[in-house]
Amino acid sequence: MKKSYQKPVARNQRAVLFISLFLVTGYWFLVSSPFSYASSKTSDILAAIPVQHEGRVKPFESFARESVLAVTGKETYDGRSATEVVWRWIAEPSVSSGRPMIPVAYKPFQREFSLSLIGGRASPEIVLNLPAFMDKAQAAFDRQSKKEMLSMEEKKRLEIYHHAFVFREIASGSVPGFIPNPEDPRIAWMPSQGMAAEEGEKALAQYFPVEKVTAAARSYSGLIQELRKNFDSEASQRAAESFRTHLSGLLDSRGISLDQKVLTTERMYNRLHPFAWAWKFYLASVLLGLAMLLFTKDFARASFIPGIRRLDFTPLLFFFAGFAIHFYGFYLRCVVAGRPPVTNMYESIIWVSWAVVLFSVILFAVYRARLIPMTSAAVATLALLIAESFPVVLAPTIAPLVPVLRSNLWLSVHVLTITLSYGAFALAWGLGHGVVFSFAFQPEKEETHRALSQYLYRALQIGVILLAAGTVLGGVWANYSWGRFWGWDPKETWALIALLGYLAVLHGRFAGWLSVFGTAVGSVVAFLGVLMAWYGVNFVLAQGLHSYGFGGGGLPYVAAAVLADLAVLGGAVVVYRSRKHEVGNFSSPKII
Amino acid sequence: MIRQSEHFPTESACLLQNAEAAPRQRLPRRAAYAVFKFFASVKLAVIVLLTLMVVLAAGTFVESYHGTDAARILIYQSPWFALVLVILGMNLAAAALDRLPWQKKHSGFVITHLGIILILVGSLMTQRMMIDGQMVIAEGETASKIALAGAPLLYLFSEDLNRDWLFELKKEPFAWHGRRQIGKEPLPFSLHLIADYPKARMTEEIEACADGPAAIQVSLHNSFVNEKRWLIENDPALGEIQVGPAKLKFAGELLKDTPAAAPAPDTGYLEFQFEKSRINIPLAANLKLPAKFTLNGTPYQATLERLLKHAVVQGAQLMEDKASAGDPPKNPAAELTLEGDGLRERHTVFAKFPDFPTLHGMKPSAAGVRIFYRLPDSSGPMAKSHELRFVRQAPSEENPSGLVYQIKTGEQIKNGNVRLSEEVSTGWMNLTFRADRFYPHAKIKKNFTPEPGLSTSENVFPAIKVELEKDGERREVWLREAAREKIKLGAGEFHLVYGQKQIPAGFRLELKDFRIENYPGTNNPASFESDVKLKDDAHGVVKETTISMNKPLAYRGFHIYQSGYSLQEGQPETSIFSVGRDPGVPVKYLGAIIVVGGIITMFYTRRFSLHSGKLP
Repeated sequence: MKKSYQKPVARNQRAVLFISLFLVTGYWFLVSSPFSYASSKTSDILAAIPVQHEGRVKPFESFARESVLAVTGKETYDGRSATEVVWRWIAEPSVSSGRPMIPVAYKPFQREFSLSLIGGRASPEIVLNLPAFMDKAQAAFDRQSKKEMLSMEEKKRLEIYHHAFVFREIASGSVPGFIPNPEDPRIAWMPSQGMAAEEGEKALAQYFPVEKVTAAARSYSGLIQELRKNFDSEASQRAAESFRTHLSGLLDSRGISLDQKVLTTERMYNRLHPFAWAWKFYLASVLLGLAMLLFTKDFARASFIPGIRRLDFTPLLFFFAGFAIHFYGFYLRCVVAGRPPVTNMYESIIWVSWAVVLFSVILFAVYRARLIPMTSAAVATLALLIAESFPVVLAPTIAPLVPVLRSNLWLSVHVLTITLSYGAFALAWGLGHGVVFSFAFQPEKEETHRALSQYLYRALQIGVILLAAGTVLGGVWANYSWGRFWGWDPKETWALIALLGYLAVLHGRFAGWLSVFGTAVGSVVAFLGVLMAWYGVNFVLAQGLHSYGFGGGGLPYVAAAVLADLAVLGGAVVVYRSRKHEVGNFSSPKII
Repeated sequence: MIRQSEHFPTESACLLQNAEAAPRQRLPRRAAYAVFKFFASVKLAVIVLLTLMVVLAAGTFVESYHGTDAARILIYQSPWFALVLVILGMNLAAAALDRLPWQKKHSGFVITHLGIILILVGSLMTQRMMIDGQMVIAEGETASKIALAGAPLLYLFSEDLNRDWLFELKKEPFAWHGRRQIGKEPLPFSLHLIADYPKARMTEEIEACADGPAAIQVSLHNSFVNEKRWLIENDPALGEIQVGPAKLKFAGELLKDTPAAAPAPDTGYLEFQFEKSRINIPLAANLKLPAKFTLNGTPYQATLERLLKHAVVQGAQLMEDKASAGDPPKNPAAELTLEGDGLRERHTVFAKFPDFPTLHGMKPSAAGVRIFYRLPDSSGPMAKSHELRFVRQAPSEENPSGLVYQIKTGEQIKNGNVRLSEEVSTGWMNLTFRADRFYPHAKIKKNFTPEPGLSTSENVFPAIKVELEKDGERREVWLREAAREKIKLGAGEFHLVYGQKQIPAGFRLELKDFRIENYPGTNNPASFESDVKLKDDAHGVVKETTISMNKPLAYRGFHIYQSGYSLQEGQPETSIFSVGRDPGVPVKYLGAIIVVGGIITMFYTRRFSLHSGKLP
């Protein structure tokens, strides 16, 4: 069977091509390493200091990343590490508050700020001191606290105000907390403000030995002075080290011990960028797989390069490396958050894309067809790229849970089941494309069609089981937590609609209304139901009890992506139909 | 390859087919069989599935634009939606029966269909038999009735007839205007519904009338404040209001000029915030230490031991810093002891660090108190007792309205006659006031405007407008939910209440304590919970337990959940429980388990090939 698809290309030529491709991929991996921003020794030391912020103790680095994102809407600013950016804000509040860092994208505000915008950005100083802007922001804030419905303009205004507010909090030294209260761990930690002022020192001396307090405060002011002079100097490094030592000495003096393991894990998680690595591995495996396909015409059969069997495994090697690092990243995030991380859009995309790969591994184990992992790698690459590319909309921050979600068992069982089903359907979406393209572009390969459609059917079955079970478990949780099994909440309704969509496709096949080609098209289209339940309810409908996951934004992109996908699908359908007329006699499909 | 026509098999097509299959059967039987086949068809299943999808999707969009209630009334609880579900149930049952006698390959499919039918039956039971309501209980209070959601009622009591009536109303999805008679049986009056706003915003307007208390509109102005406020003489709500640092009052009597005992400089005050009350203790400059204060309304008394101006810690002791002297104080602190009710706590309070816990080496106060040391310049409401008071006196020639104002600044009182549109300086923070309007007799007129169904504003309530007619006299009145209105009609008076239907719960529930726990260092609640005591008099049961999110109390089929809370200044903490009883749940659970089991069975037993479209 293999030999019949072999192209008449010389063996060593293929090897050269393949090895050069391998080298190119390796080079790309190196240059796209996540440590590409300039990171100084000083900021390395400061990054590790534990701080308390928004209900969680975390390394300063995590706090800095969240803050830079919250103020500038970007992950990095000025090409510096987030830790450095934020320490510069603390050290030189008046200089940095004059810098244009707050994005003002909303048109009416661009007029309001007019000349003070630089590159579409305003400085915190200007935002906080523009009376016309602040008066209206105050009014919007009052209305918000009375739970009135806000207009788009009011929402955008509060957003900009929030950017500036976060900056002011940091620059004034009110966040983050550096020193816990030894008497009561529930109280907010004391921020740097307290160390800078004499009164704060005196108050601290109530709780800590006075000489330790003085030493810590002195090292803090020393650090600030050095940072102002030169951030990267050796003196700065020494000052940073001294501040870190004195701060932990202060905590030690009252026997406060923080879980260093979690803090180290979080540092590791921040440094590693596991999900960025995962998609690169996946993409590499897809590209290598595609390259191998150039040498063989078969879409589904086992061996990609007959003759060079030793290199056959390379795409799979990359695939499994991606799978492993993806899982490891997920594990780290679990440890840091102390819960299964599936409570916001970012986390669910990470999890769902992992589920896609997981199911493909299971199907691969059963059917031994490499096309399955290659398909899932493509889907996972796409999903992870999306997750990593829109930090403002998807919020990669690890945040505490709202009360209703604080029941780990139900949260895990219900949400993980539902999202696993999304994973199975995402795989079915990918395989559906495979079936459609296979029918359209190689209509004579009936064996391939038969195999592919069987994988598709299995993926659909897994999805249906999990979505049905997950929806029911959601009902169990809702009954337990809200007191009703089913309440037509948009999230649960859309989960049901998605399930009904797949059932309609399957029953359409049972009834003979859909051909296998039509079923594949149907399972791609039915994924729209999943998208709506997953993304649309939170970002389009934004109503109902599941409001803890709500955000906004990204709709034009999602709509464009969906339309593009449907256009490609439509193109394939047209090709398939025209070919069918041409060829006429190939056996398999019934009419769509 | 398609076996049948591409169109949906009409009933006649089925008839034809079946006619061949059973030519000798009589027409009614054949028709029944045809109907059965129609319901057993997979194609009907596809159509029902697609219909459901469209309807449900529409429902979520209705909800997104008009709110949950509108979607429920228009779609999920409508009879035609129930019809679609019934067709689905018949389809499921017929499809399963059509495959009789069942073989092994059918097992998954039959089990799944049975499960879905059970879920549908469970939903029907829920719709018919469910109790779904709320109990709102303030701390220390007991409730024994459940207010049912979605069952609006109009209660009417006639004083002269000494009779009352209850009318059930329909819930409207949108704001409704029209004229609809309420009550079918003959009544001694006629009652019509004129308007029904599921969400209405109430605005109050003061207007002059023939009798009633006097009212004055005052504008207050400085660089921070710019507002107009109405004051109504001796009114419980509008007789006295707080604006910024000052109290505004329209009272019946003049402020008495109490001779100040010691016009010494103000040294601030101590503020004790208990759970339900707030006590301020002014600290005179010549106060002799230690000084004892009783904290009225609490079992405690406080002894102020030391007041420090420039507190520093030396060793482990709080001392006056000898290096600093004079004013302004660098780190004012107060040391005091709280005693009473078997408790003795020593607090150190720093004026500049109000967020610091005041107890040394201990957990938060067992008395549940927070103590603050407020300095004279901090603008607490008691920082200085500022008051602007209006009093109506007998009209005189130079003051025809008879209205005078009094400005109290600390101990000093300044009097004057009120002239409309005249700016008067209060002497506090550049604040000036101006009397804009004065009505010797005024009343509050309430206006209602409909709000969109999505509105979550705190000032929005359900409201209806009814028209009551008796003996040829006709009155219209707006009724806000849960607010009693009184109208005079002819000789008699009517009391009206628009509210939720309430049913006896069969037990009493007392809220002993409500707590919120925040995430450390934030105001974001991590959890909230209520200590409750349930008493069932009929069964002689007393249960004490804690209800929290995700931890309901189950009692005799009822599930009592913590669904929310309400914290308002000056009012006790209030817990909102949702109370429900749903006999459909076990059936639905059973159905759900069967469905999942069925699909899993199908995974193993049903060797369906997507490619050939056949079961082998």
